[in-house]
Amino acid sequence: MATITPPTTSAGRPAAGTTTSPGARRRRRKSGRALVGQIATIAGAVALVSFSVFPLLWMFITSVKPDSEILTSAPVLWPSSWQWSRYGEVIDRGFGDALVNSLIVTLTVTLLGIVVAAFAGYAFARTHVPLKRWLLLVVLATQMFPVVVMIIPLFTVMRSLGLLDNLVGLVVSYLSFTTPLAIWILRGFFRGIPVDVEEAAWVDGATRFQAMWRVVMPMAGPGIAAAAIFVFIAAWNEFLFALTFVKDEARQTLPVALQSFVGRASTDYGGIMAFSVLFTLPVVIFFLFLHTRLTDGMVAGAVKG
Amino acid sequence: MTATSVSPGRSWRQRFDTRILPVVLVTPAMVLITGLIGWPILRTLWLSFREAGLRSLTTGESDFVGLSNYAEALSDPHLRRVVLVTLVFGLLCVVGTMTLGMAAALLLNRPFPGRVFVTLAVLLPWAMPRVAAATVWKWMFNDRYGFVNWSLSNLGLDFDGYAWFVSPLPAFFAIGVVVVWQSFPFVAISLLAGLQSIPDDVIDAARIDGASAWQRLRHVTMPMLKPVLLVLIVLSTIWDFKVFDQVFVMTGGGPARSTEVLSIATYREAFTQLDFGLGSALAMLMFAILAVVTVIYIRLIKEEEEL
Amino acid sequence: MHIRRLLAVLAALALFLTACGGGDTADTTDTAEAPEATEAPEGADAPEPADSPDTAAVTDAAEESEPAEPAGGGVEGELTVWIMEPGNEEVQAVVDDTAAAFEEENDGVTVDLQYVPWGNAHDQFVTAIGGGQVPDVAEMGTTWTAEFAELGGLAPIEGEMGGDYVESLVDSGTVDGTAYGYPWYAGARSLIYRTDILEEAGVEVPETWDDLLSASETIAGSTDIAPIQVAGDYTHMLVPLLWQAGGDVATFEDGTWETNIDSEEGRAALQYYVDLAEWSPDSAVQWNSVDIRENFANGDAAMMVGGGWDLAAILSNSPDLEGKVGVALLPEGPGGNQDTFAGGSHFVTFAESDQQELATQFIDFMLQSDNVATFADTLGFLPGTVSGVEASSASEDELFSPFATQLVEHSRTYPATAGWGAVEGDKTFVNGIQEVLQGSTTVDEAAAKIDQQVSELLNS
Repeated sequence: MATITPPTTSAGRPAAGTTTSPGARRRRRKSGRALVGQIATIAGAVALVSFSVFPLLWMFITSVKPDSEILTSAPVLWPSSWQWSRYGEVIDRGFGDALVNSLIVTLTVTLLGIVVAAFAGYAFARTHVPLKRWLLLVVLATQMFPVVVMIIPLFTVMRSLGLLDNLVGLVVSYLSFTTPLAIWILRGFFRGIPVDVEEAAWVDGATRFQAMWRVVMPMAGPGIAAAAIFVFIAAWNEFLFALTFVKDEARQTLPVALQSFVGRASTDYGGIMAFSVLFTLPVVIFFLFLHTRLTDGMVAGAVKG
Repeated sequence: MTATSVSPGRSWRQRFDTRILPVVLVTPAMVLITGLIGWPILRTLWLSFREAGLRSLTTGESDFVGLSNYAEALSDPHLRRVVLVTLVFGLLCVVGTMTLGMAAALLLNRPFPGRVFVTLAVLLPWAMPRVAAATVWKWMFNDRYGFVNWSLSNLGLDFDGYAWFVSPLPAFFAIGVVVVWQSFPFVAISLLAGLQSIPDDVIDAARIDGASAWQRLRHVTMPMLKPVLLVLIVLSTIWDFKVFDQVFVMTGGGPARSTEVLSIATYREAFTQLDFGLGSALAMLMFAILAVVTVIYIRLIKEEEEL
Repeated sequence: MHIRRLLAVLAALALFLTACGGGDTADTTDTAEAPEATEAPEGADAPEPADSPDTAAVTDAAEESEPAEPAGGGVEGELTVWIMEPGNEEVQAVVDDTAAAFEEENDGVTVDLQYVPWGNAHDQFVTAIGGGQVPDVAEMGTTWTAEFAELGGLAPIEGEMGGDYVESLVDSGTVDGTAYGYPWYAGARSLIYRTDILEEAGVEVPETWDDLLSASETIAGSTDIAPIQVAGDYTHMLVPLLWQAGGDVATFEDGTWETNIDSEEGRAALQYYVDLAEWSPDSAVQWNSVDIRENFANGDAAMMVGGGWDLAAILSNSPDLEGKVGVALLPEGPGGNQDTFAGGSHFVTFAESDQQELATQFIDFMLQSDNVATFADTLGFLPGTVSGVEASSASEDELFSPFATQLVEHSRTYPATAGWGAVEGDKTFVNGIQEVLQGSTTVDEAAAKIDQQVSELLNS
């Protein structure tokens, strides 16, 4: 049986350690402190947002600047005129086809990857898989090699499986490189869920699979959402495989299409930036689709019940 | 396992649940992973003991040279320095990523207006194509056109025309900022998910018992986050030690190789020098370093019974 | 047995996924149609060889029966062609049109054009050759041709190549007397300068090394912009100085490459580069040719070393410089010459390709002077054939014509050997000069170090 930290034990520890602290006085000053806390939170949030978003904002502003204002000695913070035309040009240059390819690959990988990884992650967290320790290490070890060195043997494997120059090949290769990490992420989350909830379901007559599917999986909702975002972004961003395994322009994915703005004689910075803005949008949509799962409070309720 | 009354159907089911189901659940993942990556890894290991150029890849002929590729990797002063630099730089990036990720997660776990927006903002750096992100940051660190020097100078510091990428320390600092910027969102989002999985009543109970915010974090939240935290540290280590794109775009390993990290050196030996033997040996070295670091982490967190 | 089961599961998964893949089955239709069209090319361009490649391809496809090659060797003449990503829609359109014209002239031939990003091209060639699936024709950077030829990846050119090609470009694709690359287009770097600033400072266009230095001093004294700038990562500006100083990188004698960088001329070349660096900012240690161009375009420098493609990019990004720029041959060095590096692209075919004949036909078509001139003009380069250069508008354009003269009359190439690919990949010259520019070593030490490393790489 996997050892997890039962909530009762850990809740008990601080209780024992803080018996001496004068709780009453604290509670009296609570509202004042809450206000300070709220202000600190908001200040932290502003700092965090600036750090995260500024480079993207810069990217966006660059994408609408006239060419002459892109490289200037004093940064031009606000363009003198807005060049939306770059977005039209980017879309004309095959963005749509690449977008469709990217969506097909990424969504398939996310869907299959999460199911496969959730099953394995659950098994590794909660059951006695033969050779468990070794399998887990093997799974992790596959991530410890620099991919550049493996690309030629991988190319040969893909060739002999008939997976070159098609999207299926990309799906399969992305699955094999994202599931190891997704398994580890999900296993961590499954181990954090109290066993007694599951045991209660068994006592009620559920099979192990049913208990996993109906009780444990929903409770791991935030973890599954986090792993899904991870897999989605990994597949969405992948460049080296997409370039090496698929040469046919009609089956290019977005990261490869982005390279068409970098040429021998010139680089179209404005185009790259406009492309990158469009590139990040689907990730935003995917996140908005999942964010309620990521942060919902339903879990706590389930534990109480 | 829970003791149950013995009926024939039940015991078959129990055997299925304990013996067969785990294997069934794990098999698809193992097939996918080892089916594709297994052979390339074995091939890399094999090549690391051989003298192999591009011609030997096409003809299949190469000479066994024992450990001489490893000896070369460990005796070359430049490569030794690269290994050391990778270790230090990687560890600092992990510390930066984890600290910032944890801070962001704790912040996002508090209720405040606009939280979804802030969570989304935190996620964005991760969503950006790595090469494009490194390009934008390289611009921002440009000595004359860059936003960083411009704003530091406006703050009254003497950063006018400061060249970030000319000597290794400032260059690694700039690269590190970009690496942390792109990898902390994953840590933040995962820890946030972990925090959300902690039942509210546990925290409430501690609060009612009079535990301060720090004590709640130290004694309630952290222990419950431990499994997730361990995984994130291991994964961050793997990523940050293998950093490639950001270095490649921002300095290319220069000037004069002073900002080369192990993944760049590996790439250079294999793809520009076409010395696949030495390249493979460096890859194995990377693997060994990561394996050792991972085991140390797991030991430190005293999880050996779990692994 | 285990492995076979793994493969079976993977295959099943692959089948299942094909539904999402869409369009993946198109290749089967190609193969089915193929036999009908077999006669078609006979009447067209190449009367004799037309059947031989086809029959060869048929047998090959039958023998190999590899399921792994969806686009492979097409029974009827599907030609896979890699072109380097031009980063410019107009250039790509020219290539697309020319290939379409070739298809039109040769019934039953399909050209599958695949654009490969420059930054990844070398790796992609390595992977394709090492992984055993190569294109039939590819555009290849002239300094890589000898490298991949010597490593056995490329098919030698049989018979005469014809005398029309620019000589230095043929040389760079020739290993041990055998040619591997058809010169497609090329460019040579010359001196690009601001007419207005030179006039303002009252200096003539420099014709010698000394002229250039003294003109720079004058410009620096009378204006506040840099007279000329250098970059740490700009091999094609640095190495030609060695020729101009009267030296050479290396010569082939008795089966070994004798390097000549640790010499009077080598040290003079490095020292001259350092002298020119006086007006470059600290960050220039990490610059490359693009930074040089962008600074010039921004009005930060009065002169630069660059090619026609640079000038085209400058004029399109900074239209206000129109009429204020001029081009001259590179200044003559103490060695009495003003030679520069002729860089560009070859067309090559691969040893593993089974479409050699058709590939050669395609290359011949691409190299017809009209086709090559249109392409090179659009790209800002010059054609690789003398007749092409004549057909190109660049030789008539007053502004651009010095580039043509520089290429045809004053250009050379680096040692044509696999080792040079390693030198470029290793960035031997770049690392050496960067250390000098950083101040961490002296010119003499750098010359000795570069010499020793180049010698090792060329002779390994």
